[in-house]
Amino acid sequence: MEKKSKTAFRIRMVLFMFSVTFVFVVILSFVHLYTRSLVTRNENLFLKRSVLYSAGLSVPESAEELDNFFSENITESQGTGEYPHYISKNNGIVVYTVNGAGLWGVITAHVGFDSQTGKMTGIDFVKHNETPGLGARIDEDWFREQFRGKKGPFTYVPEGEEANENQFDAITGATGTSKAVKDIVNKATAVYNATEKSE
Amino acid sequence: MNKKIGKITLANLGRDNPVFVQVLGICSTLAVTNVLKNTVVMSIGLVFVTGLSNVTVSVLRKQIPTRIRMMVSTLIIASYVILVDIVLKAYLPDVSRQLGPYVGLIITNCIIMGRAEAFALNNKPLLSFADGISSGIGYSYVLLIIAFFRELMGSGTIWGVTVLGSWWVKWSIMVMAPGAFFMLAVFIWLVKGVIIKDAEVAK
Amino acid sequence: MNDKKTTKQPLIRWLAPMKKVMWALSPALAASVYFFGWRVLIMFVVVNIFGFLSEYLFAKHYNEQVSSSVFVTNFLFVMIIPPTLPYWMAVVGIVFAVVFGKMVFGGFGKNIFNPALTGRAFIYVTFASYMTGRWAEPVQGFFGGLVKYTPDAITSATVLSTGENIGTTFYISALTGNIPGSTGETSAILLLIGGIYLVMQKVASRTIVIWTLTGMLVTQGLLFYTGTAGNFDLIASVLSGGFMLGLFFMATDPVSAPKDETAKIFYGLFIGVMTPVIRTFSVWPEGMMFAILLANMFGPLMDMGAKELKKRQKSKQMKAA
Repeated sequence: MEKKSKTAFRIRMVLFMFSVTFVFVVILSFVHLYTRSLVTRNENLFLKRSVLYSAGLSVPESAEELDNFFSENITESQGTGEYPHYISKNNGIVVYTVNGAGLWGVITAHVGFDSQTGKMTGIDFVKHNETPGLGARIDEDWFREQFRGKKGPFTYVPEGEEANENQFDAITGATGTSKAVKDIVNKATAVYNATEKSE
Repeated sequence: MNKKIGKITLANLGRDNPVFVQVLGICSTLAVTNVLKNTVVMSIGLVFVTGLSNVTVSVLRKQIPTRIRMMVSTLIIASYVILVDIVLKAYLPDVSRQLGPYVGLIITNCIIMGRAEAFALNNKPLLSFADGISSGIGYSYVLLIIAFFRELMGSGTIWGVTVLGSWWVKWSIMVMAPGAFFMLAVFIWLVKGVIIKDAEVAK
Repeated sequence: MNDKKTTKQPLIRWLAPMKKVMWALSPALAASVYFFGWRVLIMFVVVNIFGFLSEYLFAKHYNEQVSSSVFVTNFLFVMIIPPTLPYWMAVVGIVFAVVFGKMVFGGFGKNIFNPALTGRAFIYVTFASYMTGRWAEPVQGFFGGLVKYTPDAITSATVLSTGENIGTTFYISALTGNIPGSTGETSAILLLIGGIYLVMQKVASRTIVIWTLTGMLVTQGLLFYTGTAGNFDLIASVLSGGFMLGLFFMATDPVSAPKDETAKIFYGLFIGVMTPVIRTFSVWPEGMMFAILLANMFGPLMDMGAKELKKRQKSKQMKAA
């Protein structure tokens, strides 16, 4: 008799857990499905803004204009190498997606080049896990803007110092991240040079 | 009933504060308090999750078999955290990108589990809700104070707006995790040395 | 305890070894006035005032005496900050050193970390560009800094961060102290004299000094001859970066170092090995400071380990007998 009730208790436990899980999973799946299109749309818009920014082109505010502008100007290409890139037909700009090891994790960046002069049109960091307030300052405007019109390979100088055409201002207190950024832009430059020559 | 709610709220904000008395939720205190904006979003998320998970646990408290109560609470908490994450991703993509993994970390915040375990399992839903919300607020205001000083000293800004001019030398340790350790230590020191000590003497 | 409160006690408790440490440090401090100007002396006064005040306030609250160790902390702290550091940063550093480095642990004799180094580590990380990028070139000429308030020339790097121009000229400059660097760490010869005096007086532990030096030379030698450490040879590495100061005055700090003789060997070796490793491989060039702080952390553990080891040996002997 007692053994039976124990089994019953166990079964009740499993059933309870199962039903609670079931209810919550159903609710979450519903919310997920409801917002999925919105989430992917946000990510898509973010990516487009980033590509346009690093190509040095103007970034339209509204989502619709952005879509139109992007599809008019940019074509996506897998390219010859392993680096996917975006090409702007009208302006002769190429934007590469490059990865590099940051201080805490992988940094992914869009790096744009003007194929007439070989100079950089801009850089934007798509994904990184750098220390907030230190390395994460690579997202700040002054840091990204300084790359426009410069030519690699790069070295860096301490923050606040004058940088010449092959240099950029590092971030104080974030030597690791600054070095990672240096490696990333130099890698992008190398990739760009290699593809330009082969084409 | 109302009196009881008031009493619980007061305790959670002061004498039983989850951060500076029970010293819970320290992980997120260290992680998100370097900038005010992140802290506010984290706090709102936490208040939301503690409140709702407390209610849910409390509603189910008579059905939950004692042996698996932890599993059930974890499941409930995790569901609400994922909910917060999805909503942020859909409607506040910028904030979501900034917070990154921190939202997921709400689930590891001991305050939520602690309140579910210590309070919601033995009390009525409404009371549990009040307890959850007030615990969340008790946590939030401590974090906001710490974040305020850390952002001010570490970056010279408040809410991203530069307050202290270029004459201010930024204390870069304040934006790193050790800065939170020192801030929290000083905060607890002040509170326990000045405010709580008086209360204990009065008792 | 009670009669302690009632009897009036002098404000400061002077300890003989502490006085000796200060005597041993004085020549190097005087030399730095010669090299870096009178500002050093003002800095010394400022740091002493604030260091004393922070300890005094705590001591008053707990009805205790101010121990003379706070002046040693002040002394050392002045020696290990750049001579041109803004006064207020030095104040932040020394207050942090005394309050968080010592008083929160329960005051003199109970601190885990060397207070002066704790303070320095704090401002080193907090005001990185001031602590690592603005070094004063020593004032040249016969009168040196005696006719100057502060040096004019600022350089952005010490030999520790660049590893350039190492040669006989550098050795001589480093020996006398005619190189950019922290206030008191530049004059190796005066520090050496002070240090040897301390070891002779049995204030500084000979065991720690010997084993730290051994560990350092072996590791640095290994790194240098395998080419990992660049052109940083043995002499340069011993003469620069406050190694002398750390070796004689901070690694041997009787409070934060282990008490057991066997543990002291491991403690010294740890510092000696870690210093070149940190200098070579990390982004922070100040290996000595971090090595000592790390070793401080493991100090109590080493003491315990050594005690345990002895106990086991004893019980083995008992069994054998």
